[in-house]
Amino acid sequence: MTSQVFYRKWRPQTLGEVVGQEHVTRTLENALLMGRVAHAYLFCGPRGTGKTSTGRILAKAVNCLGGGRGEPCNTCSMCQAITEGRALDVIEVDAASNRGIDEIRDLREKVRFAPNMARYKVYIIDEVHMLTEPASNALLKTLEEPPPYVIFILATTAPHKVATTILSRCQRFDFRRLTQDAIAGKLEHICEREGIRIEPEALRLIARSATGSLRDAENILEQLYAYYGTDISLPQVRALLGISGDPRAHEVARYILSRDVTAGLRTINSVVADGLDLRQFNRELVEYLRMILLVKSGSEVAVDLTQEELEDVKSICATSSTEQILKAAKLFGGIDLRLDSYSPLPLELALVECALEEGRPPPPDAKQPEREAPEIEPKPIDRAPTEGKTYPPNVEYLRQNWGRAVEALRGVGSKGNLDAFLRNACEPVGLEDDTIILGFYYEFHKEKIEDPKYCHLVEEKLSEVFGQPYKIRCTLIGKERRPPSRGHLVKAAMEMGAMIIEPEEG
Amino acid sequence: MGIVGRAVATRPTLPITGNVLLSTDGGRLKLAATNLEVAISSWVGAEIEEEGAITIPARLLTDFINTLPNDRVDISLLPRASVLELRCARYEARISGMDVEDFPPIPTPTPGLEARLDPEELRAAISRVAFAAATEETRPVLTGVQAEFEGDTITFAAADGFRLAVYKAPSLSPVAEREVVIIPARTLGELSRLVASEEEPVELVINPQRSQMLVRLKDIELVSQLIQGTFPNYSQLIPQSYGTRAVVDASEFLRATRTASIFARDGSSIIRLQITPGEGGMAGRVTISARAEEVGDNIGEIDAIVDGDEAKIAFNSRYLTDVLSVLHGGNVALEITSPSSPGVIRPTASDNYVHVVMPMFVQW
Amino acid sequence: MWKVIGHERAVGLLERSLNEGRLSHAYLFVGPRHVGKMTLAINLAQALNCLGEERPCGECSQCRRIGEGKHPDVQVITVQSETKTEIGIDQIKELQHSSILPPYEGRHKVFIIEEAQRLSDEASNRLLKTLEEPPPGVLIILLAENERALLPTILSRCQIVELRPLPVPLIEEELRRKAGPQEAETLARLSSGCPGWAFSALRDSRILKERQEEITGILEMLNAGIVERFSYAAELSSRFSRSREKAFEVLNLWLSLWRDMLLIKGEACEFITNIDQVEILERKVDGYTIDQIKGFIQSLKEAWGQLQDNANSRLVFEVLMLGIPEKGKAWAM
Repeated sequence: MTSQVFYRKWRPQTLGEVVGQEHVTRTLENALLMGRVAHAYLFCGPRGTGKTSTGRILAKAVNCLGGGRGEPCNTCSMCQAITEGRALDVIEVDAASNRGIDEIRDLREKVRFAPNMARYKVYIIDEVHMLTEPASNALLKTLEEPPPYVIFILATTAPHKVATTILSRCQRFDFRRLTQDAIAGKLEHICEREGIRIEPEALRLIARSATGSLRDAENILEQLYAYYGTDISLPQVRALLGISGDPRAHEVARYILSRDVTAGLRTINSVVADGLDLRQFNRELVEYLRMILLVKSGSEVAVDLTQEELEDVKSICATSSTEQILKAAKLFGGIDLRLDSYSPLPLELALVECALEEGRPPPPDAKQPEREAPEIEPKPIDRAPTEGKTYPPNVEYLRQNWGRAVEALRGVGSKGNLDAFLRNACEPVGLEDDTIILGFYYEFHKEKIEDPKYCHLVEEKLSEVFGQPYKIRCTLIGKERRPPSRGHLVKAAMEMGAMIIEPEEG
Repeated sequence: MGIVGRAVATRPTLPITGNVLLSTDGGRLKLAATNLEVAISSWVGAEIEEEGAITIPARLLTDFINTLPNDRVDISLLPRASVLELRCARYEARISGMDVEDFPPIPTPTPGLEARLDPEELRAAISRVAFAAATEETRPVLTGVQAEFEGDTITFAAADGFRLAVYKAPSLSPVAEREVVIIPARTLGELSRLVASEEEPVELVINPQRSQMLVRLKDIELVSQLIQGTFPNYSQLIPQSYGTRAVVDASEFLRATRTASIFARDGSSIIRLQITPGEGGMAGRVTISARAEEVGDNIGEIDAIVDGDEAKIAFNSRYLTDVLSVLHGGNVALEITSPSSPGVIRPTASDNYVHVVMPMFVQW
Repeated sequence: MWKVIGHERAVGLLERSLNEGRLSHAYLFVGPRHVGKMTLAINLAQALNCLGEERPCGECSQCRRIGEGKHPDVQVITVQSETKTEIGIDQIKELQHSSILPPYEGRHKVFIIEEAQRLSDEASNRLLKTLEEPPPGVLIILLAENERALLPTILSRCQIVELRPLPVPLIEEELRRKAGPQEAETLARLSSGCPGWAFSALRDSRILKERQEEITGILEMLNAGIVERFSYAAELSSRFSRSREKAFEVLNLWLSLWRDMLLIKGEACEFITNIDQVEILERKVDGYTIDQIKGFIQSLKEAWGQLQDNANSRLVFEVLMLGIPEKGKAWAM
């Protein structure tokens, strides 16, 4: 049923075939030619860059029966056994699943056995950074005085996690992420041999999406081959990589900026209904918003658009403010769909947010700080209330600024949500010298805040916010005293500058 | 039940493999079990009144039968319900079963290769070879024993990367073409129990795909899955010549090795052998020593007929005791070339067994 | 006959690879719960072992027993018991042992690893070698809801096949073979594109009943007094400590209902999920501003995140309940 997949079939078998790591392979080849092979190597680099493959080639080269120095012959029985992974003297160990001291002790004992048939016993230890500390100490001992017939090749994707004592015992080689050209070149080679017809442009696209890992690129090619056979077109590659080019990304951008929530929601949901990849859709949407922003800020030259597209973008720019576009780009750009890529909810929320926040009527007193401006320091003294209330503060002042005080408690408390806890729980009802009297609607909240642990935190923050040391005292005022509206509404209203003059009596 | 019970799955991935299949078969009662790796069927004489088949939990059945007096057992399948009723003397039991349809069929390999083997030879082959197979699964083929059929010889070989055991057994039915299969060592373990008291020649049947092997004994059949893959070419591993050869008494050698191994428990279980040729008509000797750092050391000495120069070599004590314990006395030859090349142990009485042990690297 | 609903691309890919003898040795099927991952995996295992003409025929003894989970050569590896949260290294060792032996009666051995995101780190790493170069004739299929939850080294050794939620009309059409038009429409919509859920709900009426009870509870909370809300929070919190999964399901339902309210408010009613609740939701929406709805959805998501981060569940639920917006008291637009 199965045939070998590309990354196995086209695994390099000589140093010369290893792509994009010439700085490594050339040094190794020289060492082999001069017969100066080290006893321990450390191969570092991202996945799919050829570490294990190079390790196997090295194992063949030192054990090759072909007689030549340098590259392995790949035809002798030893080379073949190693290629097929059945040579007894080339041992691949995966440190991630053999990371304990026992496994490494076991390895240390086995290292002492002479090779069965090969000249050198080669240990290829993958993901060596996964070893526990005692295990890596145990390995170190073996590295310090290895039997003459042993070569260690340690490989890791995270060299910074490898103990420095181990690093210092090894000859280190850093494998680089492959360049797009190198990947495209190798893919081209595979396509030629497999009889696959594909445009260079498409290969570049694959190379780009593989982010430097040859194995990833080979897998994409494999998948394309599986889906479409030997004739692969650019649009097919785009489709597989989820690059849709769906015009609806542009439509949604337009709706966002024209604050048309209904049309926006409908379009997003039609995209979902069609089974499109939302991650990709959002990427394209953000990209388009970025272009609009560039055009708006006068950098037309920086965008690669047809005249028609440019006209479209310009017409959007004409009706939207820079702040609005910037905000949209930020909001949509910040959406993380990686963990749930099937729900459009994050896009819908961002859409509503963009449409509404700016669409509000200007608040009666626009000088109050907005929620979205955390950079503004919470020093209320500098922004004394506008209605003539003067310092020293009185209860009225405290009440008006209560929302901000609560906001300052964000991130405070063991769960970091003391603000949420307090927001609807109480209000300042009096001020006695330096003691703020907090009236609680419920016993539950009062008790919590009376806990010295929390009490202290609140006092500290209030002092900070109101610019002088305050203590608090809690009292119960009952739920009939609760403000007329609360929750997000109050928060929103207060942020917009509204204030609670007098709690509505039941 | 004692026989087929060995093939019942202990932690079944398929629940029904925890069951045993009971069926009437040509005037006998057939019991069969499989753990999907090994399947064992066994026939017992019975007076069949009506044909039928059912599968029932093996543990339950075994435990129940073990408590019964040595008397005739009446087994009947209750109509419609899949329940088996057993009556014996004044005991009776009913056990719920599962549908026979769902029981994995006991494989019946079509003959691709057939061979017959003296049970004594099979027993010897298993005991001398199977222990050398690898227990770790990092190299799957090494967890098996290779059986090579060529002419009138079957060669059994096992290796784990540190030692190699090869036994040649005569086949009672020569094959025309050379064939190689890899039998799981676990299967051979089961087989050695089954053939313990067998006297008739054992029949081996291997299917054309080389994926299953049937072993036919009297009233018992065992079918095993065979390991797929290529076994290392071990012949390269057996040194063709030696520099020093010492012939010693196996039991004495074993005793000295065991003594040394007490001191070799720490530090990689290393024991050191030093072979000294005899001078002027005196017998040569082999000294066997071990030392445990900061604990102590020991030296033992045995007589040997030495051919060649003085030599030394270090081995893992367990590997040496393993092989010496299966040789059951007699004289053995120890052949070595250098401290870093494989050592060979073979009984001198016959040339059908070779054991190769990898030496260990030590500072002398 | 491939039994899986929809996913023509995935089926096409597998069928084609199968016919051309180019099947890969390792696949990862990614998609939300109930979307059809296991069905597809079983189908593939059947196709590989089918004795019929048109593979998978679904009727031969091989297909039948694979479908019923009774075939010795098709093994599903999953979290072993309720008390365990991971697929352990021993299970992978067993897989490896079994993989070196030829199929027992079929043509190919197939190992299906369900919820592959639950593989322990050790198990994942242990699997790498086998996943890269399994013995001939062995196929390994990993199933996962999200590829991000798997090690990159695992991902790069698999052919990844994404199974996205299906179009609702397609599920509806399938459901109509077994259900009335009304029921088919409702279930299809509620399934969010995952047919497995719809069919389970069709078979087991308790699923819908339980959902209705949860919804009733949720909707009651919108008008409830503080005491009721706190006791709801307490109950939810104790359910959370019994079964995180269950509590997250409830939270999902909250999210789903509020998202529907957002859509209703935004006049995109035709896309809501809970169509059986549409009338009641339309009434509930009245009096909320879209900003309130959005704000509360964000609180729900925050709560979700906090619970994931092991916050004190009681406090999280209480804060959440306190944050339910008040109706009709919005400031004037």
